[in-house]
Amino acid sequence: MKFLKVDMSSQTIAATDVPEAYAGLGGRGLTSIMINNEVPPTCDPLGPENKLIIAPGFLTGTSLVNSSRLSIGAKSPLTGGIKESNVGGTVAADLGHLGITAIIVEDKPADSEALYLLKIDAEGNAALLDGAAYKGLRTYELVRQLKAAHGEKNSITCIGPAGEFLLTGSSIQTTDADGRPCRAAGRGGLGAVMGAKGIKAVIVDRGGKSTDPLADANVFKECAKRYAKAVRDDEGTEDLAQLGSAFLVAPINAVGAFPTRNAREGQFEGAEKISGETMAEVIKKRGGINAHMGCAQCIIRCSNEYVDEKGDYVTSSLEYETIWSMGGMLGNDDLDSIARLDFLCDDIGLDTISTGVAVAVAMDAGYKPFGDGQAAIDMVEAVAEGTEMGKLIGNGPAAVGQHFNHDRVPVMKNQSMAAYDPRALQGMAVTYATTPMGGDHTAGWVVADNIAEWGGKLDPFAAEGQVENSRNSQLHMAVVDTVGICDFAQSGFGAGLDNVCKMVAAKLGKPFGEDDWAALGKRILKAELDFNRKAGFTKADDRLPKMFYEEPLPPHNKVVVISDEDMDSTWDI
Amino acid sequence: MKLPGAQVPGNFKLWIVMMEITVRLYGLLGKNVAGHDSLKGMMVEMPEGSTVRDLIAYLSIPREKVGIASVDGSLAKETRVLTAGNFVRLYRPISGG
Repeated sequence: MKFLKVDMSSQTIAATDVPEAYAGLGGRGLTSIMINNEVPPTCDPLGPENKLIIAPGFLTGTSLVNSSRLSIGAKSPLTGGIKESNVGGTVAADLGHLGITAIIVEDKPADSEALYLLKIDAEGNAALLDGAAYKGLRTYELVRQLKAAHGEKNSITCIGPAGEFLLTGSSIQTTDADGRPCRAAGRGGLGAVMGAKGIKAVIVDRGGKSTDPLADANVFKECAKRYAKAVRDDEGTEDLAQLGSAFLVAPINAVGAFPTRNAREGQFEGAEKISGETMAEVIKKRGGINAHMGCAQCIIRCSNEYVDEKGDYVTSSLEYETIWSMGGMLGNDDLDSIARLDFLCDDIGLDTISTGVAVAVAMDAGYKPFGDGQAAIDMVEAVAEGTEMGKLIGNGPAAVGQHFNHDRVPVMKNQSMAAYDPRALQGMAVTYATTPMGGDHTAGWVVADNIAEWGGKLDPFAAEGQVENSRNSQLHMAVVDTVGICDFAQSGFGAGLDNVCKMVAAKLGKPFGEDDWAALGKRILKAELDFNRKAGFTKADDRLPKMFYEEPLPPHNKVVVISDEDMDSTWDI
Repeated sequence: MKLPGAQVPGNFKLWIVMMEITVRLYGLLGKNVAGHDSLKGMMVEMPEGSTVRDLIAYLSIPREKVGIASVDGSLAKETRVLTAGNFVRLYRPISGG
């Protein structure tokens, strides 16, 4: 258990014990509570006062399956509020194996052109190396060169040109189980914070043997075994393996909640061509890989390797949100161009959601026609070229909307929504509007609860019960992101929330029950809301753009009906 | 695929009017259903008056494995009565984030 504090103004690193105030925390709980305590809320997100905090989950590094999750936190240059961006791959497990609770990057170099590599060896020793030679590199080439120089057995977490350009749609990419920089902490523009700190890449040795000790290893082992069994036994696990998260395309389109052509419609006539079923067939036929293992300790294997007609690698992993943002949202039914766009975003270091929606807004404003995949590719390539249009796309949908004086911009707190239209799933309206993170689906995914025809408990077109349901989901997810469990492995909670709590207790060495779980969720949300309030956010920011209140969404022709009063009651906790 | 039992044995013949329906099974729902093409679906014959629930049972799919159904592109409950020529889509329950 230690913090690595990296001071970028003096280029010095100090390893310190974890202070009592942060004991028992990891992941989002740690990043958010620390940001609220230590980052001035009104600071410039790209200035010296902001901190970039990289923290594996509390259970990451243990033997628990699907727990290689990393939280990256900072004040967001995109939203102006607190941000936790969550990513898989291998680095979280590696940091856990080194007993590193968090890397805290502070201040910035006096020379704004300086660029560094942060290298952590197998003993957990950290050093800052000159990274000037890597300036401007895209992530795949960067990783190739860094592996050649530092060895294959390293996880690499890095930024591409978009992060160096300080664009607010920039991501932090990290390597997957095959060593490709295809896993993204995409949301919130945190690549720009890393760029402002002057760090091009963090190189972490994969051979650490200093995992935090468990207070009760036997109890932990039993609970972890039960958790893994629940994941394996869940039927959804096989769907995820065979089709990836793209299995969602067909059902979300069926319920009329698949935002199409910049959310003008809720169903895409080309959905069959870009569905998970079609994708899996194409991958299989061309010799790519379905059921690919992307993250350390994963037993679900929702990843894939998408290949072209010659069987050559295009991207990994093609996922639901990207198929939507680069597909349905653009009226683009060409899976090959979607895969290419996914690769380009990873390579340039861009959030696929923000970037796809930025292109959609440009198309909606008449810049290019919907359905033109090549035009989208050109626009994303322009980001790396640093053109004026590229800067707009790289700064996200709100920047594009402002440029074209176009007000159909589906953002909340300046961050684009994800692949669920809130007019067809009112619960997602609450999550998008009220999460301190800005438009974000993972903060409180209440989609299944809103499919009333088939057992969902809520009417997707009515306000009743939506606030309470979203609130409960958001509080729960804050803790899931703190312990470091993958969203898709929540099937493991089938073995009981108490089973997960016992694992936390077995590491902590003191009781941790379901009440503590609930209390921790409130503690985290309160810290995040407190930071945003001090940063200047008010309840007026917990609203959706007027298009969602005024434009009925086909085919159901509904609008968002959650009242302002209801929205405002979300955080009466 | 023919529905067995359209005629009952014995002296009396009970004729049931059959209808053709197209069904497409998403996710892994079609994995163990003979004749189902994962991208095109399949044709089935069912007695008139059959419901979505009857169709699921006829395909020997456990009810809890179906999360969403649509008929001709519109969401449908399991009690929905089908008519000749309907295109039924069945989806797995969803989870995710």
